[in-house]
Amino acid sequence: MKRGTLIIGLFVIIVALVIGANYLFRSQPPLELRLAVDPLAEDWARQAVTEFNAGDTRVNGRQIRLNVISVSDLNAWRQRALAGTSRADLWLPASSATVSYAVAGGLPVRTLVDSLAMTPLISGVYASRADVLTGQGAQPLDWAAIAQAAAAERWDAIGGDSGWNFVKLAFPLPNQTMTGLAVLFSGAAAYHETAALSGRQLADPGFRDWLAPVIASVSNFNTVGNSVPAFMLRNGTAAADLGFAPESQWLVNLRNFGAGDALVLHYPDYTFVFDFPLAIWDDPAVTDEVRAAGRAFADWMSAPARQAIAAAHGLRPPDGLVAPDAALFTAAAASGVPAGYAPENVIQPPGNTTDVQSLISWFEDVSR
Amino acid sequence: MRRSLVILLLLTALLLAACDQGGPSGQAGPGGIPANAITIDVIYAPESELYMPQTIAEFNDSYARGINPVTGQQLASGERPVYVTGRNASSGTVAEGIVNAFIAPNNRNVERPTVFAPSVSHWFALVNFQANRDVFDLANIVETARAPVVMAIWESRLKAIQDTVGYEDVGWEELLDVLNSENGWQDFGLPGARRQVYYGHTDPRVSSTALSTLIMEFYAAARDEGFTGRRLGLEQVRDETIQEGVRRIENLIRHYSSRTTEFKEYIAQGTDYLDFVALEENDLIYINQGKTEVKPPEKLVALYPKEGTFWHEHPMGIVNADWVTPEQREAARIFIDYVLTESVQRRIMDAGFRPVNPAVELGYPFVPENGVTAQGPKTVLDVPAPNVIAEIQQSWAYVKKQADVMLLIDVSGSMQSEGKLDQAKQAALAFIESMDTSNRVGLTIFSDRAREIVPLDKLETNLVNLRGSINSLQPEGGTELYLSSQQAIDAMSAVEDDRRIRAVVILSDGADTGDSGATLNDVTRAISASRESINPVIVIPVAYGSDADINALNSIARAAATRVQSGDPNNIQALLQLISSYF
Repeated sequence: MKRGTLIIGLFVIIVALVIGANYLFRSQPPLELRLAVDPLAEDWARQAVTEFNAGDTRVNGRQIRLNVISVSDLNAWRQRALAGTSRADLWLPASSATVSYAVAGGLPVRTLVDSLAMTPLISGVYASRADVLTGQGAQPLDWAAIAQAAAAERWDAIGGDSGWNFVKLAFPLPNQTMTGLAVLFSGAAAYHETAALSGRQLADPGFRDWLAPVIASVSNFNTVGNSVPAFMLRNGTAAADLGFAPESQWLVNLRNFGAGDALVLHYPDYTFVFDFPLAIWDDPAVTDEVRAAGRAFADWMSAPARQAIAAAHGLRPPDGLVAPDAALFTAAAASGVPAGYAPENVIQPPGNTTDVQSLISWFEDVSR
Repeated sequence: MRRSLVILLLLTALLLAACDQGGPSGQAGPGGIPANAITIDVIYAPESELYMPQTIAEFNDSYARGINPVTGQQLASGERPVYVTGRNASSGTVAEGIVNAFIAPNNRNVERPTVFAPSVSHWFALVNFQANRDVFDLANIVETARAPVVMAIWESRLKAIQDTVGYEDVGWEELLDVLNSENGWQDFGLPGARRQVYYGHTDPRVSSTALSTLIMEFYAAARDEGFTGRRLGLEQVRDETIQEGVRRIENLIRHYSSRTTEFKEYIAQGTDYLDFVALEENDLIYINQGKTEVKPPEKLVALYPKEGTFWHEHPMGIVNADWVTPEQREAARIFIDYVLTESVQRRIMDAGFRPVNPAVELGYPFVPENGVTAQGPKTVLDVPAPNVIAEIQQSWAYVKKQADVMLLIDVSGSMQSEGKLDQAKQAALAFIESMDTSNRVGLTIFSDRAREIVPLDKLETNLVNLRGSINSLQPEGGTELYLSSQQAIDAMSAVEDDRRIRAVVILSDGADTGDSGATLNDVTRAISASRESINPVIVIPVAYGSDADINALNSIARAAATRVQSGDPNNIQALLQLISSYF
């Protein structure tokens, strides 16, 4: 037998083996999982998932392939969206409070990771307005000052320019977004001067009377959308003087705010923290393969190397201390954004969903 | 050895081909739709027609080439292409159609889009309210292009107001001062101008601009009555004094229309036709850029009312319904992301809308030469609650300016040809069926002479009579166009009610052949006489068919400061329906 024929013969055998292996390999379809994410986490999650999918992580030889769907925390919990057409295998909500509410509502979800990242709810206000709210720095820019301005309705009633017309606040719908609901919790904590909120405190008529003008000060909830900083950028002071949003959203948009009427960021005494847990849908029908895939994704997301993706979207690691090279944070240092943030008074919303539903229903009535 | 090498190379190629995981999946299937595409249906506002078709075409083309249009990357393995079908329709009509899909699925108007993109977000809240469910997730509505509602007013008129009052920041208060002034524009430094103020807007039941304008009118009337609150409530909308104030504003209306496109063409004719009209800012830019059929004789400028206005955000909302799958929701989100990309946002700005992507800096056409300011409105009004908006929309029936309309239809022998009369009858029926029943309508026909066969009366009273009379029309005789027109205009001028639109709609298919001796001058003289009055008769000539005397009808239209409308048997029904929306 010629040497050339021998080589070709060997090669044919190798090729057949490779093709066979490849066929077997490809005959295993990828394990497709749906990851439901709150809009607050969406940009971050999409980038992370793209990298995860590209990394060819496998379980039982099958590639894990995640598909992101957007489901707001409140829809997941209140409308039971996770149990409907948006049924997801994994869930990355904005707040662990929502996971508790979903479990209390009977949804079979189980937390895999307590927190993948964090960001606090803070306020942003134009410097000219901040000067009026603080009496040129004589008093703090806190909830009391904001509520007082909202109750006065017009800027000229509290020493501002009459041309600024009505006091205009901006925050997203509390019955549809976690940020909006967090604003109500934040107000309640400030009013009652406590981080551990009870149902009775949320239902307190004094608190609700105090908060009602704040709600009435939002010009149009329907156009605020999910990002208050983006809304304020589009509209300027014609539509909002002050807004509430997660720190991450302020950071992403900060460079677009002009130098004219600078934006002042304020960290409240009682802080609502978005802690972004990762949960899995876990009923008896869920296979071990899916559970293992969920765990693999949880491990991948929890790795310290992934914090760079979160930081690029303005999110802090769970301990609040950002890496020195996190560009968004270093750029925002001049605006008073600290590199390390560990709030003393983290708001604990009431665990009873009926109390929270009652607050949301009250919001719907008062904003009608 | 060389042959072995060739065989080896061939086998290697075979191996590589066998191991290939599959390329991008954008190959076109039937009708240019990629084989495994997720198809979504987008209904957008007519204003977006300036940029949306091209945007959709480019989006689809990108996927057809196997490239994700948002990322610019080749489609990943398993990534499905998206195919968008789009069309424009009036926001109010679509909103009603979506509501019907839930509560009255057998209605004639039912819409089931994946994405609804009206001009303004009011509609989303209204749909949720009327359907009594969260059809749209209001927190996830995405703004895609911005335009404030402005009063497009002739520069000379605005300057006259500003010079008279002595300040620049004007609004409804000053416009109403002109209205209430005994000699109208003549008291505002325009000695040659007519006394009355002419204003126009579209129908708030279907048009976003008109809905926002009507809300603004309620705000203006309420402020005039001492309302100082920040947001209109039912109390104000139901207040009869405030309603009367809105009626006073509506009394400035020369005529309405269902389509903004019409008003762009009308106001471009000059100060004779209208003094100001409610438009989106982009429409004003369009006119000043000389894109209308008629070139405006002077510049129109944007009056951003000092009392405040509304932003139209051209939002996109994904419908929460069983006809939208999770995959379609994701596909819709990708399309919305594409509309927000810099390249599309630049196209949107070129079309006269303000971009929402902060990476696109505001530039041309937002320059003073186009009658707008880069700053835009200083004050934005609070959007009332959905139930209040619904109440305002319903109030339209009793605050709008009522109309007296005489239909003057040519039934000469020539109408027998090409089935013209049959089509005209269908069109006349559609005309009366489309009108508000609180209007007064009459029917006069003419051939050798004019005959009033249904006298002017409330439509709710004489609708049956009108239907019967229209159905029994027969062609006969010649075309006494001039005398018939003159008599109809004179008769309408004699109707005394300054608070109603008075109009004659003339439908004619041929030149005057009458032997009465009446001339075109007699018609234009009758129109001129009417125009001396505080409430002139509007004459709208419709040139029907290829033999219509366009020159004569044009002269009549010019004398009346209107436009001749051109129709044929194929479009006459749609044309008369459109004209019915003027009233």
